[in-house]
Amino acid sequence: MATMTAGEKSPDWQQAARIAIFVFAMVLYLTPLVSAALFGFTLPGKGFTLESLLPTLSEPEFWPAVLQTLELAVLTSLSSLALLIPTLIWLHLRSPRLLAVADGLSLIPFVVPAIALVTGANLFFRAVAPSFLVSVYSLVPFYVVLTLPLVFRALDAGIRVIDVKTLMDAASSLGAGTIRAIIQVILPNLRTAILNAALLSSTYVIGEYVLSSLLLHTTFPVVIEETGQTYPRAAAALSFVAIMGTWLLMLLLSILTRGKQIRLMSVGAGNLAADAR
Amino acid sequence: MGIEDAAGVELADISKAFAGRTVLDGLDLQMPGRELLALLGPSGCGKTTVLRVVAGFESPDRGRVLIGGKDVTISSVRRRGIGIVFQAYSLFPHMTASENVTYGLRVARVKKVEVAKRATELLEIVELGEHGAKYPHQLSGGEQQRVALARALAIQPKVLLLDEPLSALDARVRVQLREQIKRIHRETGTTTLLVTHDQEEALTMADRVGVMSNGRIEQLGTPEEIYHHPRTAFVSEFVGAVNRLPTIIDGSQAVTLGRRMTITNPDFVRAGDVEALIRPEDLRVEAASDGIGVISAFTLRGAVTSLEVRLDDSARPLRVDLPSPAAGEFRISQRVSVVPRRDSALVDNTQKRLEPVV
Amino acid sequence: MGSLAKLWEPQYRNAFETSISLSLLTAIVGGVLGLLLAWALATTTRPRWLKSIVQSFSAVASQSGGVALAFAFIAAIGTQGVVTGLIEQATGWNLTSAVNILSFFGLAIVYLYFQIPLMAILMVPTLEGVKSEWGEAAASLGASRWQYLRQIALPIMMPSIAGALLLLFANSFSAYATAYALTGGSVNLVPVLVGFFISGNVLTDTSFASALVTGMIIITIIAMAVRALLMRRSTRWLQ
Repeated sequence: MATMTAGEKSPDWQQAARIAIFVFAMVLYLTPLVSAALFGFTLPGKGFTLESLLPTLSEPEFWPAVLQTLELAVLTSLSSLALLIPTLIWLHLRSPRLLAVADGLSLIPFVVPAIALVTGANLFFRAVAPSFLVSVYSLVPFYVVLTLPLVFRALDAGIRVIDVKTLMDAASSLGAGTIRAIIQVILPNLRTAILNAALLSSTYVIGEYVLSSLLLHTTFPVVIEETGQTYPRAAAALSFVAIMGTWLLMLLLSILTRGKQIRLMSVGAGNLAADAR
Repeated sequence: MGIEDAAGVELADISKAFAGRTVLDGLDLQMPGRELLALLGPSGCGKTTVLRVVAGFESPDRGRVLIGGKDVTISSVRRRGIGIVFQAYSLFPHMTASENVTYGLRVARVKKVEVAKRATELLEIVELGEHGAKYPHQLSGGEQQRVALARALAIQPKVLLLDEPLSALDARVRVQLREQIKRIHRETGTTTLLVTHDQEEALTMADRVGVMSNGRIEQLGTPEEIYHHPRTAFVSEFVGAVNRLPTIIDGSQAVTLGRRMTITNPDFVRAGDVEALIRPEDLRVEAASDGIGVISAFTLRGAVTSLEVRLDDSARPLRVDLPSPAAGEFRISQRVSVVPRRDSALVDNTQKRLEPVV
Repeated sequence: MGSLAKLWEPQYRNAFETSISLSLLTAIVGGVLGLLLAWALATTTRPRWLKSIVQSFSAVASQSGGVALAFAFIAAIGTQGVVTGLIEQATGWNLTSAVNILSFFGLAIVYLYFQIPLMAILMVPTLEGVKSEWGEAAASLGASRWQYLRQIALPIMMPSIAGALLLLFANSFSAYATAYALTGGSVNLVPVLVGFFISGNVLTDTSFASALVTGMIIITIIAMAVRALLMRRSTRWLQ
């Protein structure tokens, strides 16, 4: 990379500047996390203790909320995959032009942020089918829409790497029907992409607050927020757990993709930045 | 638009290592002004490093660089008076062809009127007069390289450096551009250093060719000298094709294919079995029922046809090049005798070769 | 339609002004700092492990936000925060008196947590796309390093930089969870306001919420459309 004029070896001050920048960055990233752990898991004069968490953990709605969130994450991932895998394979095989269109469409959820989506949903369903939004599972289709850009790209990237057309032709020449070909030939090659998509999707759902709170459902982030109003230390502890969980998922993701992640994240980051916030 | 006293380039005892690996080791090179010198060699031989040392993009660990007699070893790139064309990505993508060409002039604060005039002139020289307003992405690869050439010449450099300028181009465009570069060199008289791995390029374009291998210049000479009088096995094998024939040393002469030959490499040191290196076009075949070989294949190359001849006493086939009409007189499985046309040859110690010469 | 007219009333106009200024602030500050981080990431070769760690953490941090981040920051620089306490112990200076986490600037700081790495992640490919040949050619043509940066490198990167800034702007503008969890509504922002009108904290006026959302969407659409145009040029130059 070359914003330097050529021929100059990196001056020492530049190297020092880089290291300084890295150190600042790490301090930035780690401070809230470490603080949350310290604040949440210690009490003045007591050292490490889980006391602050106890009242929250025994709240009747806590564990159901956690399970709910996990359930939603799984359902969203499965729904997204069930929707997009066949669609993308079909698009890649039959219509590259529609694929480009779909690619553009997949960006719409970014232009329409979550807060706008929930407003629209509210208006629409209250008028048309008021009981739809009552069920917590009504969140799933919205989540699928909101994670569309990331899941689309993760799967698309995986499909581009394998030559779908050739694989399908080879499978059918050996006698496999379309569905069988997809299940036995294409899907195993998409394992990594599918896992990526599922991880990205789940990470999003686990932290999603806008829709769940405004549609009056109780999920893990909602519980954290409510806890924070009376038990700040408990909220900090829970936040630490949530952030660590996300980071571990992302670590898993990066181990799986080994370097391609950054490109994927930059695409994903560029398209899904706002909505979890 | 010529340069009166064109600058020569001199490299003295240049050494350069990257990450512990020695790329250049005590290299010397002298280019007189106005010369077009080609550095020819395989990837990794150090030829690009030589060019970059002349340019100033790399500082040598040891040695001196002189341009026009002036020691520029510690001068920055900007002050050396060089022009450069890269293999790819030469042009600034956000500027038109004209703006690219005149960038150096504008940096030097040349007056606007003069700048406009030179832009037209230079684009004419590379035959892109009407394309000044186009952006690089609207130009073909060959056109982009021509604009890059015009841009390098705009500042009237003392030395023009061409780093594999044709390697990324289609074969046909390559040939056209070769001619253009030669013509421009003749017209401007700019001292030019060309780096390439394509021997045809080097032989057709250069006044002199330096064949490099592993950081050293194996031989420096005119194309004719390099091709017809190679001084090392590497040179004869890298430039053009060559056969390796079993040889017996008798006194100060070599005996190959029944013929006594003078040994051309002056400093040959014998170590075990010896082979003579003879080019395909320096061998003759004659139909002979008691000949030492049998024709096993024909390869039509165009004006020339290569005959593959299998010798009775050698596992490796020979390649003999004949003008195609003459090759028509022979048949497969025909027994022939093979005779060298010359009476001198380069010899070399036997090496393991992985693939036959075809 | 009457709802749209209502948008000009002072408290709602103020929401747009606050949202816009918060977004501008975090986009520009995040942009500059993120660009520095991107430069460090793109140009570093050693030590490789440090660069790798920072790059991975940046990718994750750029996607973070929401409730968890808000409370983590409160734990750090809130009135009883860990960092606040450390600074007070060390220097006697009360951080909260200068920067209250629950204010506009506190929110800006929290936003920067993801804006900076987002900018960095977006800009690393751009910086890497700047070809070394351009710098070398510029030098051969007599340009100083400063001239090269000003006349070649920056102009080439500008569409990409502008596009990234627009993304950061839209990102900040649409953010709800972080703002709500942190300030609850004490900082007057458009997304938070919309949330109030939907969930009935003040009074439920869904048509006015729609008007607010429409205003919001117009802003984000304009930002994204301009960005799309810019990206076409930048991919052409930097690929």
